[in-house]
Amino acid sequence: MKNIRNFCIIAHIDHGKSTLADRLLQFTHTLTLREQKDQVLDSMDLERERGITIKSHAIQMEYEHEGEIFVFNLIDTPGHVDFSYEVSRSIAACEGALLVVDATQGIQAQTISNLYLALNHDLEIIPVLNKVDMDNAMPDEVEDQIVELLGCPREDIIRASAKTGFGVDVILEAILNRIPAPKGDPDAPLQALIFDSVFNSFRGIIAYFRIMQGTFSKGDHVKFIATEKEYYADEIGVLKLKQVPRKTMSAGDVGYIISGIKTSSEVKVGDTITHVSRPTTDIVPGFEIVKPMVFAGIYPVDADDYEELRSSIEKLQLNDASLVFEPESSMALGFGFRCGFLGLLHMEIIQERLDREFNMDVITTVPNVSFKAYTTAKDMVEVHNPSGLPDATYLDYIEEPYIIAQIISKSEYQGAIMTLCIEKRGVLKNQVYLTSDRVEITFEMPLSEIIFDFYDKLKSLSRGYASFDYHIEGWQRANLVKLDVLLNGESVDALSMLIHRDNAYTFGRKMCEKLQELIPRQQFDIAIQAAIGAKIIARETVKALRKDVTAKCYGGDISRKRKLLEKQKKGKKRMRQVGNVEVPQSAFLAILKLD
Amino acid sequence: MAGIYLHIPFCKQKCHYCNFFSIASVRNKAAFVDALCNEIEVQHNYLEKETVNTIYFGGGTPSMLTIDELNRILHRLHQYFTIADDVEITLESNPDDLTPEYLQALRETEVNRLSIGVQSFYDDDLTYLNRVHSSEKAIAAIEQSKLAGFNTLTFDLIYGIPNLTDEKWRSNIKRFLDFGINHLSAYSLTIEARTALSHLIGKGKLPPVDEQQSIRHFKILIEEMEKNGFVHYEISNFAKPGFYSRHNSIYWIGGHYLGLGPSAHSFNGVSRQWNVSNLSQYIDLKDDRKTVFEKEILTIDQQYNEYVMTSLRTTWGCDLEHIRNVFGSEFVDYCLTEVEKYIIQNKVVRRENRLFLTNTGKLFADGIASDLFRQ
Ligand SMILES: Nc1nc2c(ncn2[C@@H]2O[C@H](COP(=O)(O)OP(=O)(O)O)[C@@H](O)[C@H]2O)c(=O)[nH]1
Ligand code: SF4
Ligand SMILES: [Mg+2]
Repeated sequence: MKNIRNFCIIAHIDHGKSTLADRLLQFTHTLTLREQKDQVLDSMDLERERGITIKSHAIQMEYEHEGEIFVFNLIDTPGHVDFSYEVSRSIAACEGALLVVDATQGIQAQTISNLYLALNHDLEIIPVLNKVDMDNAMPDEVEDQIVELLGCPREDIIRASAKTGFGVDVILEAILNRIPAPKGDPDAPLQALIFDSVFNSFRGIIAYFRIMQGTFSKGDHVKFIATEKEYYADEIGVLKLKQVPRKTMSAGDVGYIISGIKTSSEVKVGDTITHVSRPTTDIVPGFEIVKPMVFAGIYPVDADDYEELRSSIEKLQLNDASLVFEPESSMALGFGFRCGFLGLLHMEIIQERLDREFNMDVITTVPNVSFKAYTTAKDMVEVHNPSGLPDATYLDYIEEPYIIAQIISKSEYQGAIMTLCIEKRGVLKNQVYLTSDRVEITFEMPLSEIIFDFYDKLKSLSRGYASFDYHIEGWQRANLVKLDVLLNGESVDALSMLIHRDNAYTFGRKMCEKLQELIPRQQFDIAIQAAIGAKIIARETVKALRKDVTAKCYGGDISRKRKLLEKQKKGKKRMRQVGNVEVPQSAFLAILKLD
Repeated sequence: MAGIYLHIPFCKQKCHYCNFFSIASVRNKAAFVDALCNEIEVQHNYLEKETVNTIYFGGGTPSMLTIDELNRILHRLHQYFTIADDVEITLESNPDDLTPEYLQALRETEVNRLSIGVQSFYDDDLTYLNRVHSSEKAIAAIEQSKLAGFNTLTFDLIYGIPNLTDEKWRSNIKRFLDFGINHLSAYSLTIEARTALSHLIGKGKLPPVDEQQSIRHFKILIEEMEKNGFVHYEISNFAKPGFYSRHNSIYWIGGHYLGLGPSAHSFNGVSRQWNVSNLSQYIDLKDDRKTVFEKEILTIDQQYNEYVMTSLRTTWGCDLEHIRNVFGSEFVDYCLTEVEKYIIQNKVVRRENRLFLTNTGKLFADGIASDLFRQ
């Protein structure tokens, strides 16, 4: 055990986490030359392309020091706010963390939020100042920020370049010398933390674990405490670039278990594995069932693809237990699924994976957060869809999820950011100067206010400088109304939303204006109305199309016109019929593009 | 049946609505004619020895060519192509250029069909359009053309111009009819992107066009022309039986044509190609004895789409038998399913295994065609 080091890398997006991981694998000869490619641990194409790590990964390296072999387990963490619970579980499996900060960017919101998670778990922090090879690096200034934040001596900070490899040897030495070896008693009852799971089409769901206490052998009869399911460990082993089976593993080790699990929901990240015969009395603290907070309808563009869509979503779920779904139907969109996501990015990822990996053409409806509706009978109903709201006569009140949002920015944008947050019903909680010109602002605000255009606005008003992180904090009463959109008098269920009363009028008006732009002229006038209950609060008209014919159709006009009409045809095919009105797909997401 | 189109890219001044490739300077005209003659040679195999039944000088303003230049080009065409004895040779012209002397000389060439860009008999409309000629000039040109012995004449008229009241439009049609000419092209004024007109309307310097007015004019046009024995043989074209433009028809029945000159388009059944829209580049190519064009190969679906789009606009309609023979029964079934709703709405009728637009349907030709498209 004294030769094991378990660590993770925490960093804001793009600060160099994946690149540094590549370098560590290279310096420890974990990969043969042939296996080397960029961002080895990012296995999905999507991850490599977007440069974000969606799933966390783990890999074991061997480090030789003065003739002695040490085992380094790197537990990579997902790099986005939507996955902060998973980050916390990866952190719980480690004794140390590399805190990577981009020397050209300085400390950003995710650096801080993940750092706090790491400090809460008493991790040894090794600060790494990355990208010092770059011309615009500001090493002294960013070191100031790190010293300020960690209260560490300046010499503790390692200057490095994940790109050139500079400083990587120093980092490896620091992992060895500064991060403590795991503690734990190999003879105690088994207590292993599940920090991730993956799906393999031959072997089912594979859980990744870190043994906190005890010893674990192949064939053992084990229990997953939270789900109360029991299994035999068909295979256990360690995670090199491939899985390497082992007979026995014990406290401090990181590895995988294969036990014929078929459904991803049986493996809950954060759960504890123990022996059936000699169970531990302590679960690993911090376990939560993460609940999706953002919901949206996903519908096949072609109604015939409904079953295929179902099986595609099911397959995605195998890899991603945080995705939930249930069938729903919409008058406008037909049959589809209400899907729950951890956040907006998660939603985007699912949409993109459906498209890329399953070639599914889908329409996604306006997302909404999860609400709690309390009835007059004191029952609580979770509402994932505006139409799921209990009847007004039984409805007592509604609660909506609130977040704590952390924003780090240059102080010159502070005013604009505060205005934006207050507009979004935010309440200022705290404000700290990290350095003389960098400020960390903490707001409490409704989650629903950030799922539309908050992030884009924040980025644009701070010229891309502000970084943002959040976590769910709790629930608060909300003064919400249901806003409906009607086309020629017919309500479009897929466009209904629950919205704060104060915003309803402006929103309704903007929504009608936007739809007027997006709905093409048809053979009759189209009235677009926004309504709260029976009350119409806004109206626009799309004038009838009375003429649609090109005057000239000679030589060059023919291919030009054909291409135009082909494009129209494509658009039309994706349109949905609401009453007698054809509605383009873009209209269902209109709300996301209001300004 | 095959055709040759020659693009003569010169104009005295730019009309406000124009989005054709043309230049208001004749400085490079001689060099252009050289380059055109070169291209005739370079492309002489394009039509694969098909007989050429129609030659069309379009533009631009082909009547800005001298008689010598015209003859030189025609001579060159004869050298490199098989040309039918009864070939139709059309020259687009500006009333301004049609002086008695020019017409006399033109009569001696092989040109046997004259297209005159009248547009309107009212000077305020001509000003709105920024045409170079006056109404008086146009009337004189028509009379002179007839005097010179051109029997096959055609006009261009434009409707939907803001100042053009219904009465004025009726009177424009009446004047056309009074000349006893057998062919008319009448276009709804269209505001194309990046034209002076779209700019001036955008700035509020010229009044915008009114869709309702244009629809009324279209209806008046159809009514008057049909009353006077003209066949509405394509959305924007009317002719007495037997006087259909052979050249235009080629575009709509999928015939092959070679386009020469900058921006000209060619089609050989499966591929389309188009020349650069740049005069000096076009001229420079002469030295290398080659041409530069972009090209696209049409998929079966695209060939079908073009057939549907162009044939529906014509009096011959969209021939389901033709679709079956060329594309297969599956395309016919598809077409019939998609067209169903338009038949119910009385925008399309089916007769003798062909689909035709009704007069109401003609106003929606694009939307209907795109619904019948495959993709
Ligand atoms: N110049 C330079 N670029 C780096 C360095 N480390 C990472 N990068 C680049 O920064 C970008 C983000 O790196 P990545 O490892 O994907 O960041 P992650 O989002 O934290 O995983 C990539 O384009 C890397 O090539 C470095 O030390 N120097
Ligand atoms: S005469 Fe024809 S080509 Fe020349 S500018 Fe006018 S519309 Fe354009
Ligand atoms: Mg990464």
